[in-house]
Amino acid sequence: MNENELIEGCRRQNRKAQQKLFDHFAPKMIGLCMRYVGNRRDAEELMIEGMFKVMTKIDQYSGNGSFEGWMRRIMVNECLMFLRKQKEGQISLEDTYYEPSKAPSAEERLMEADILALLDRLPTGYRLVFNLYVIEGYKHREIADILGISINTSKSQLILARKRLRAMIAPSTYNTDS
Amino acid sequence: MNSEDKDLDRHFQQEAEQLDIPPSPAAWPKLERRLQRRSSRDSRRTVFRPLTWAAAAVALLVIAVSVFTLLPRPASILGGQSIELEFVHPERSLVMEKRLAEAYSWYQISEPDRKR
Repeated sequence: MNENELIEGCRRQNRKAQQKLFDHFAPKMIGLCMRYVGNRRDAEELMIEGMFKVMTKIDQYSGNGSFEGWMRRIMVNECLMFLRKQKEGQISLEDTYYEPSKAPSAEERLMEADILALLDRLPTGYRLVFNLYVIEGYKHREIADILGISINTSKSQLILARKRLRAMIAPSTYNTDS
Repeated sequence: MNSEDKDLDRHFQQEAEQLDIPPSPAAWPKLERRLQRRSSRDSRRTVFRPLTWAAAAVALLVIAVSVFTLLPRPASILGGQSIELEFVHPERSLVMEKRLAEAYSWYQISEPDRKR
């Protein structure tokens, strides 16, 4: 069953098609939610909530653009709503530098290729902007609209997030030249 | 954006692409139960919605008919006088015409006398 057949099956509320769609996309979507909320239990709850919306609002998917992209936007919205409710998503307008409690050791720096652990160490504002800009591919203007901040704040949060991440991981982990 | 930033971004994009976390075994049954509840609610709606509309239409019709029949007529508003009273009976009309004719002829006869 290809993706279009799965989508058609889900439109007809065919349970088997819905389960296949779930099996196919759930791991990726939990990964996405984990990048935003940082813990497995909340990420799975958000993935289920997002999947429920995907399956009940599948008629709203026009067929233009990738289905996965449409699904990802729904998941990102779920995560942002969750963070807003938790009042953790509020981004400080002041670009204060957050000093980590403990500098990672050389060994930790090498081991921390796991992006979840790295992103989890970022303040929420940095993490949101970095995720939305670098991984989801949103523009600063869109991020500003979504998070209710200025474009300049979005840009500066990104610069600070990159700076923090560079400080946490050894350049050899990501540098293609080395 | 310098090359170091580009490399960092690329690294995170690649890692994020490969980030697959299998859901717990309870995840699908949970979603399935929600979908089941939703579809049974939807099916109840599809059955009951036409019935609700039909019931509402019948109720409106009954109200309209009862308002129409129970509404006071204009005659009863005018202190119990019926509209029929204002209708001149054909016989009465003939009597009136006859009287008018008599009065006119009397007028014609009496006119020369009055001039005199």
